[in-house]
Amino acid sequence: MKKFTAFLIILFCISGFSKTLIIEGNYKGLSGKGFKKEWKVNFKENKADFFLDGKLKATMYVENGKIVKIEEIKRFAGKDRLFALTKPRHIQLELKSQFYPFSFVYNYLYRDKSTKSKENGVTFKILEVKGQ
Amino acid sequence: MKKILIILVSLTIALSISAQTTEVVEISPRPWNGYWWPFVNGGLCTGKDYNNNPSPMEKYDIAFNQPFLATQWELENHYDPEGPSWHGHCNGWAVAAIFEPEPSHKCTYNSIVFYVGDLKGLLTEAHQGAYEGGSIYGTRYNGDGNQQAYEDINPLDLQNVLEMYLKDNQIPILLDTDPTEEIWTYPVYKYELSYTDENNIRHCTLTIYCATDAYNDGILDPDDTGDTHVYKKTYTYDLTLDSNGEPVSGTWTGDSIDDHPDFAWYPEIDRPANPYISLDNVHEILTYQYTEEDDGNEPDNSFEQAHNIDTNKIYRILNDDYFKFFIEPGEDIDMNIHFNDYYTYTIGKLYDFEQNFIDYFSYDSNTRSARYNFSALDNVKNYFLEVEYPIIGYYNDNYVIKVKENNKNVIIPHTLETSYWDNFVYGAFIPYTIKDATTQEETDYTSANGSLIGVFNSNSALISKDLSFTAGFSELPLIANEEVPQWIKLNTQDDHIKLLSFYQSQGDGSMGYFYSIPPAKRFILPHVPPEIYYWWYGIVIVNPSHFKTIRVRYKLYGYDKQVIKEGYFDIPQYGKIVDVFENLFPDVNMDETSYLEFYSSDDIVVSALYGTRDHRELAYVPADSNFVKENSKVYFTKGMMPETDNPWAGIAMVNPSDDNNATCEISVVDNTNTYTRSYITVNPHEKKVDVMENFLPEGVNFADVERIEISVLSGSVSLFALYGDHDRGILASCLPINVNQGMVTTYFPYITNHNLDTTLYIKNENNYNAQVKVYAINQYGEEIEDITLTLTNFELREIDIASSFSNPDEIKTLKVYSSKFITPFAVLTSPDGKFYEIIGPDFTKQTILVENQ
Repeated sequence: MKKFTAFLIILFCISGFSKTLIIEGNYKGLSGKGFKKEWKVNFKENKADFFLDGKLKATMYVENGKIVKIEEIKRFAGKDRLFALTKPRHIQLELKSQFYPFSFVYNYLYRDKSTKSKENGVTFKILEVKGQ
Repeated sequence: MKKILIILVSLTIALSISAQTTEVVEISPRPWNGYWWPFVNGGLCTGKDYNNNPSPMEKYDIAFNQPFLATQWELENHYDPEGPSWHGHCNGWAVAAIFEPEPSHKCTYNSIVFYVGDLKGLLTEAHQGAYEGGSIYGTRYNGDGNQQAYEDINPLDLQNVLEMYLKDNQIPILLDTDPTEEIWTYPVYKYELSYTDENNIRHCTLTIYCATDAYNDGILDPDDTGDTHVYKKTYTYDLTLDSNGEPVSGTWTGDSIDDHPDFAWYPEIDRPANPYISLDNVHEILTYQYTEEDDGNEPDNSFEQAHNIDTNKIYRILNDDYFKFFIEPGEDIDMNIHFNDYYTYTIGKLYDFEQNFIDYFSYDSNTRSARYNFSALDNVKNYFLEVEYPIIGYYNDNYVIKVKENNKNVIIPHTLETSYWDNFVYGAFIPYTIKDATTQEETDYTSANGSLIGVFNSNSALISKDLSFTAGFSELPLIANEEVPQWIKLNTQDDHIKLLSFYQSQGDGSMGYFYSIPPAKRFILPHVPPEIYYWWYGIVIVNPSHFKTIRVRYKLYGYDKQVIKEGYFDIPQYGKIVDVFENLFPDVNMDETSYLEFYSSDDIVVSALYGTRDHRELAYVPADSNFVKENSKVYFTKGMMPETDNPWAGIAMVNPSDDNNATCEISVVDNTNTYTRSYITVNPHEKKVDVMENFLPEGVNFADVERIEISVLSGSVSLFALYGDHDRGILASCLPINVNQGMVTTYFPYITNHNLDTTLYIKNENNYNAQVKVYAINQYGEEIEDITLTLTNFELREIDIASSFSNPDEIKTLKVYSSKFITPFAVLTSPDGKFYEIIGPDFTKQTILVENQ
C-alpha cells in the first residue's frame, strides 16, 4: 500500500511539472563514422516533444508511467509524414532503434535520473536541464 | 476403441494446423528506381557506364559556377577502380528514392541540360551522407565474426518493422538485403506474408518487393522513369507463439538462414557526402523545364567569332561551333570531343589559322569520343576546331572538349623583366630518382631533351626547341620574340630535368631563386611575415594550362586558427597573378594573418616571395603541397646558418588539417650526439613560428646544437626554415630535409658568372668520420675529376672548388656522394659580399622527383 501511494505521488509530481532537456547524442553511423547531434526535449503533461536543429522530430506520450505512443515526423516522397506507433511491440522496437533518445528521456524522468547513458551504441548525455 | 482413439488423435493434429493466412500490404507512391553508381566506375563524376561526359557532377559544377569542386571531390572519394566491387551509392539512391519525388523530365538550368538520370544521380549524391544518421533495426554485420550481428535482423523484428512502417503508416523502409559485410540497400514498398500455425509454431513465408537500381546483373538505365523493374526476395522463418497465440521469437529457416536481411533502417537526416553538393541546388534545378537555347559559350558560328577552347566549360550545340587554340613544341596532346549522347556521330574538323582544312577527328572507342593527337611541332601553332553535329533532330546536346597531356612539363612561375633585375636560368638533367628515405635510383640514360616556352598574356612563344640537358648545369636562353616572358615552361618527355631561376637586384644586392616545382591542387604558404615597413610579401599563382580558365580558391587563417578571409581568383588560360599581399587582400592585415591556403580542382603553381623594402634581402619560398606526413622524419641543420656576425634561423610549422591534431617529436641533436626530445601538438590550422633556438627544450644551449629533427607521429605539418643576417642583407629559405638513411647523391650548379662564386659546403651530421666524394662534371655531363674528403664528427667543411680541382673552368656541376648522413649545400656569393644565396640539397621533401603531379 505504501509502495502504491509513493508511486501515485511520483506520477502526480511528474504530471504536474514541465522541463526542458538539452541532450547531446554521440552516434556512430553505419559506416562507423562518429557524429554528434543536440536534442532539445520539452516535457509537459506526460508528453515530450523532441526537437532537432530547431525542428519538431518526434513526440513521446506517457500514461501511468508507460510509453503509450510515439509519433515521429518522417520525410517521404517530398513531404513530412506522421509516423505513429501505439502497439507495445512496435514501441519496444522503436526504443532500440539507435536514433531518438526516447528511452534515455523516459529513464531520466521516470526511472533512475541518469544523466548519461550508452544504449545500442549511442551515448546520450544531458547538457542542461531547465524547469522544475 | 483403438480406432476411435486414432481418429481422435488425427483430429487433434488436424485441428492444431491452421489454414494458411496471407496478408498483402503495398504503399503508394512506390519509391523510384535509380542507379547505385558503383565506385569502380565513378559514373557520377566520370560518366562511365552512363551518358559519357559531361558527367552529372561536371554539369552541376558548371551550372553553379564552382569549377570543378564537386567533381574533384567525387573523383577523390567515390571513384575507386581497384576498390571492392560492391562499394557504391546504393544507400544514397535508396534514401533519395524514398525522400524525393521521382524526377520525371529533363531540365535546362543555366543552359545545361540535366537528364532524368543526371537528376537522379545528383539526388543520390545529395542523400549519400544520410547513411550516417537513421533509425536502425538490427545490427550491421561488418565482417568481424560477430555471430549475433550476422544472424540478425531477427525475423520477428523484421515482420514488426514492415508492419509498423508499411501497414500502419504507409511509409517504405530500407533494407540491407545482404547479411555479410557487404551492403545492398533497397527500399521496400510491398510485402506478402503467408503463414500457417502448427501448435505454437508459425511457419512464415515473406516476399518483399523493392524499387531497384539494377536488374539481371545489368545496369538499370538511370534515365528510366518507369517502374517495370522490381527487386523481389522471398524469405522463410518460424515464429514461436505464446499461449495467447502472439509471436514472441523467431528464427530463419531454409535458405534464409544464410540469406536474410542484415538490418532495416530509415534515414532521419538529410546530408550529402560530397560537401560541394547542395540539396537545395538540386531542388532548384528540378523546378526548371527543358528549353532549347544556346549557352553563350560558343556563339561562334564562324572562324571570325571563334572562342578559345576552355576545357572547364560545358558547351551545347545548336549549329556548328568554332574554337581556336594553340599547341607548343614538345607538347604531346590528345584532344577529345565528348558528347553526352550519339557520340559516335560527332565530327571534329581541324583547320589552320588560314582556315585551310587539315584533318578530321576520329572516333576513339576507348574514350567514346572524337579524338586527335598533336605532337612533334616545330613552333607554336594556332588552330581552329569546328564541331559539327550532323543528325537532324538530335541537336541541342551538351558536350565537352577534354585534353590529355601525354608530355611532362617543368614550370618557373615568375620572371623579372625590368632593368633593375638580372634574371637568369640554369637547367640540368638529374640522373636519379629519390624513391624513399633509403633509396635513390639511377637512370640508365644520361640526358634528356625539352622545348623551352615563354608565356606572354595567355599566349606562348618558343624560346628554344630541343634543348639537350645533361648532368652539367647550363644557362638557358630566356628571350622569346625579343622579350623576357612572364613565366616559362619546359615541355619534355622526361621527369629528370631541373630548372633554377636566379634573380639579382642591381642596386642593393638582394638575391633569390626559384626552383621548378610540380603543379598540384592544394598549396600551403606557411608563414606571412609581420606587417612592418621593413618587409614586403608577394605571392605568385600560375595557371599552367592553356586550355582552361581555372578557379583558385584561397583561405587566409588567423592566429586564432579561424578563417579570416576566403574567396577565389579566376585565372584565364596561362594566366598569372603576382602582387604583394596588401594588393591581393587589401582588407586584411598581414599581422593578423597566420598562413594561407590555395586550392583548386585544377593543377596550379603557387609560391611566395619575401623581401625587404631596402632591396637588400630577398627569398623565394615555394608553397608546400606535399606536407610532412605521419611517420616521416625531417630536419633543419644549423650548419646552413650564415657564418656571419649576427646570423639567425627561423622555423614555421603549420597544421593544415581541418580535423586532426598533428603531434611531433622534436629531437635536438647536439655536438656530443645527445638527443634531447620534446613533444609538441599542433592543433588544426595552428601555426608555430619562432627562431630556431626557441624550439629547443629548456637546458639546451643553442651554441651546442647541430640540427633539429622533427618526427611527425600523427597528422601532417607544413614546414620551412629561413636563414639570414639582417646586418649583411642575407635571406635564404630551405624546405625541411628528409632524414636520409642511405646513400646520398646530389647535384649542385657550379656558377661563376653573373658576378657570383660557388662554394660547396658539406656538413657531417654524424658523431664519427664520414667519407664524401665530390665529382666535377663538365657541360657534357662527364665526370672529369673527383676528390675524396674525410669529415670529422659534425664537421662543416667549406670546399674551395677552384683550388680543389685542376680544371675549374670546365666544371658545370658538383656531384656529392656519400653513404653517410651528411648535409651538402652550395652557397652563391659575390666577391663584394652583396649577393648571398643558399642552394639546399636535392633531398628536401619538395623536390622528390618521383612525386610528379
